Amino acid sequence: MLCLGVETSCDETAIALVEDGRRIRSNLILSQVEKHQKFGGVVPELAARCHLEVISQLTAEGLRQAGVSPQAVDLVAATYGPGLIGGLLVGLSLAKALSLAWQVPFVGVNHVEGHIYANFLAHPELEPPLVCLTVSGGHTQLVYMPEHGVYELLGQTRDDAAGEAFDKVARVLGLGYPGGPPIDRLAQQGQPHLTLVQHDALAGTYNFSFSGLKTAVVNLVHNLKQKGEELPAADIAASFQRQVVTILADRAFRAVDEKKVQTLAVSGGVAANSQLRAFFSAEAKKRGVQFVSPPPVLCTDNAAMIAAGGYFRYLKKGPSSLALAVAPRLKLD
Amino acid sequence: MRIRKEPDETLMIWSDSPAETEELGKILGGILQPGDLFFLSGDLGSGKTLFVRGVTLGLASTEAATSPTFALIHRYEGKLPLYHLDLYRLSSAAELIPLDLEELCQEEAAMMIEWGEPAKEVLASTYMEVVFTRGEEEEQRVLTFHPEGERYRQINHLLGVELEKTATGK
Repeated sequence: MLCLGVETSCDETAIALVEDGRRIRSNLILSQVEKHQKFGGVVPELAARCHLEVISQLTAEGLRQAGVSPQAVDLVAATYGPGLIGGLLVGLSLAKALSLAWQVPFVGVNHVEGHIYANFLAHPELEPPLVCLTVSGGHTQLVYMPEHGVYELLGQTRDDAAGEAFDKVARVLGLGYPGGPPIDRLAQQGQPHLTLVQHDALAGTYNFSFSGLKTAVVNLVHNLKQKGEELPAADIAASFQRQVVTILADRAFRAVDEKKVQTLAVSGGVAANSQLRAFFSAEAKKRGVQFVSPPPVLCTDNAAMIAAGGYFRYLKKGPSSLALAVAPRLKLD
Repeated sequence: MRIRKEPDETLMIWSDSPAETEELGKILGGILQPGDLFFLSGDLGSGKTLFVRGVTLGLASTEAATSPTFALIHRYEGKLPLYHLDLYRLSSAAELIPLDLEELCQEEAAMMIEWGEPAKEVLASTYMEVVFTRGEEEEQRVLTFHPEGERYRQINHLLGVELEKTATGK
């Protein structure tokens, strides 16, 4: 079954064709990052306009690169939430229109469900049960997945998303947007010797809090500037990053133990962080469990993961109604 | 927490910890009425979202507030519905149009807007502006409540009364 996936929930316009939820036939991503860089973040209306301008052409190009005609498509899947309303509307409307025009079923996919399915694209043998941590600019969710299409939300952030904390700390350190890659690079030149937050207030739970950590960086930078001292930016980046990774690993591996699964998956933009990958992979090895994570191109927003998630959702639950509305704050169910 | 009323009816509140900032929000949550509009300004890490989290606790909302930076707008259901917005990423008032803020303002709900400069002119002429600044201690924050209009002077009065009650343990 060939599924066309559409992803427009934030600042990437993406189209992909995926066979049987596992094999990528084409995967196109038009990033708007440059357009948003000067604003230090995604500008929602700009994003929606950009999606609209390019999405039809991108669809045609996706079909061309996959070497198929529209008649070969069996299913159309699109993200219907969570995300920015303007962008979601563009992608969802396109998917519904194509479903009607091509007379194939349509299925709406949760964006976080898509991130989970990015792992299944990267690892063809992968099967549930597993625990998946999705960490990106807008999402921080720890999910137990006993079988395809079934999710139990174990924990999430009570303030800022993990990627958002990277973006905001990068802003304070003057590193630009998005914050993940420059902090990752800078951290490699620094020592993680600064204790930014003394204790983990949510220890023992599956929930996350990154606002206090962000504020600790803000306070430190403020104090050093007041004293006229030079900013040890690399050490700050390394210390901040180490604390984020430690908190994420604590929750994720505890869930692996409690749910007695053999596989831990990590997806979303923050999963591309080099220290996170190194730490998680060493910790998994120590415990004798499998650690999987998609390659960077499937970690950041893409439509292949939506096509994969859509395929498995369709098998489990059938098509979605064409009346399905966008849901900017959609929860995983 | 220490408070000071200025002659121009501005209220200054010193919060000595994140917990106090949250507590202050919680107290305010008990005072809010439909239509109340707050603009929150201050640097990153000055406690704006934490303050709104307190408000959702005070309103007994079904969820405690989290950062609205990514989604721009969150709505919480409680004793009174609350909209929480972060307009940091908007570059002009024109980008507000799809958010339909004016319509949301007509609802029986309260609204708190972070980085709300672009929205100020298009929304009501009466509102509360809360400015978050650093105090002398690392964790200390000074919240200055500038009322614009009778309702907001009343809120400052009520807030002063409630805080004095808390301070004297009544």
